[in-house]
Amino acid sequence: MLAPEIRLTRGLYTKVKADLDRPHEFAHERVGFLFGKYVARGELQPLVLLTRYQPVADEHYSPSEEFGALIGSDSILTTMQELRNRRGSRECAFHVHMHLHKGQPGLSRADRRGLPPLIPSFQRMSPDGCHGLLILSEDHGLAWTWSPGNSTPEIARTIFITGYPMAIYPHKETPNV
Amino acid sequence: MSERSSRQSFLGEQFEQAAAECIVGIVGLGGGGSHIVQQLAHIGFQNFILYDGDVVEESNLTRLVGATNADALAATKKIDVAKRLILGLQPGASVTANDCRWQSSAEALMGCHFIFGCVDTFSGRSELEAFARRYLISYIDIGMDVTIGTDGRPVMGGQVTVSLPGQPCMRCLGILTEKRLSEEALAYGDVGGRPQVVWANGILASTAVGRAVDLLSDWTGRDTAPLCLSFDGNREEVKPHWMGRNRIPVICDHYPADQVGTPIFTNL
Repeated sequence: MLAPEIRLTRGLYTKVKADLDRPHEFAHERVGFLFGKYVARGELQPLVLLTRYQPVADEHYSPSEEFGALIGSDSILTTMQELRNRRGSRECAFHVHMHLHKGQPGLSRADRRGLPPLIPSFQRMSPDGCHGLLILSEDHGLAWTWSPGNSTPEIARTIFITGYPMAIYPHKETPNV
Repeated sequence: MSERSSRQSFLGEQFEQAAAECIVGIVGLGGGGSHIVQQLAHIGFQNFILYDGDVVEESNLTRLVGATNADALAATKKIDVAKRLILGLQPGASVTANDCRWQSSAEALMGCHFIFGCVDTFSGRSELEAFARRYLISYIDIGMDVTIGTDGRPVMGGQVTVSLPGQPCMRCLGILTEKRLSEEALAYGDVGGRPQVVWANGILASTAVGRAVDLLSDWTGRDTAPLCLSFDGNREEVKPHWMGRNRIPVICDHYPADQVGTPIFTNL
């Protein structure tokens, strides 16, 4: 199966970046969740259309020696509930955070250990959706996607910010971790 | 940046790559669409999804860019004229040419980043815009008409509308109204060929392509730009449409943000 293209509007992209860019008392990175719909197109590249953002509240972060900070179970449960409420409608959920540099981002070692275990829970709540991890940099982005029924991720071929101005972030083979 | 793009280098270092990545859909390859195809191919766009079920006729030769007398005699498909034009400028381009209505092969159109609508009817515009909104695609619409003024002289007008997901739509802008759609429906089958001329098509198509290039390159650096430009062919003016300056809602009620993707029917 082809890796999908991720789409979101400029307005939503700006809102997400503004939220993630805010400093937190002790967490080095803020995170949030994006929701949307999966569009299968037969033999053609599928699409993930992201339309809603759920930030993680300040009080839902807790200090962690291993990761610096963790988000509490309330945020995860809210995300799972959101998926469950729209079960059967190809609802998708993406964990999103920012890396503060220019160019294509990559998963850090902490990201690789801490984030993929979220995905099976999302898949159980919405098995016909595509779920994943989205990392934004200052001027690029990269997404790891788990298409319906897949237990291993693929990197999204492109991230498309529609609106004014629009942007297309293609996946380049060697991400800067 | 390639030598070929050196004269448009002001569009930015990333533009050439962005144009090569961008997938463009063009619906309608007549007077307006043929200009758009030609300009996009010159600029460096590489991925085209084309729709038109018609063949070249003699009456098209006054305005169909790329068509020849031989095409009219041979009744060449308009998609083949467009494909020939693109590949003549961009031999490595990917061209998916659909000899049908777009609704008959809509999955390919979902993958576009831009759709240029070059259709004759308000209902056609409405359907295309609704489709583009569903799949988060930027839609650019062009249209022209010639009517008879109160003094009996022809009045040439047209517009270019940029409809972006999350922003005011053609209904918000007053381009599409129930009155226009119902009048058109009542006159169905009785409309006849709308007047078209190559220079007006060219102005509208150039304006539409200019807006697309600005959307993709951000070369003007504007915070906002008018969503609709109005063309007055008698005065030779292009200016923001009056509905583009006033009474525009900030949020579009016609296409709620979360109504995206292919509709799914579920049992209640």
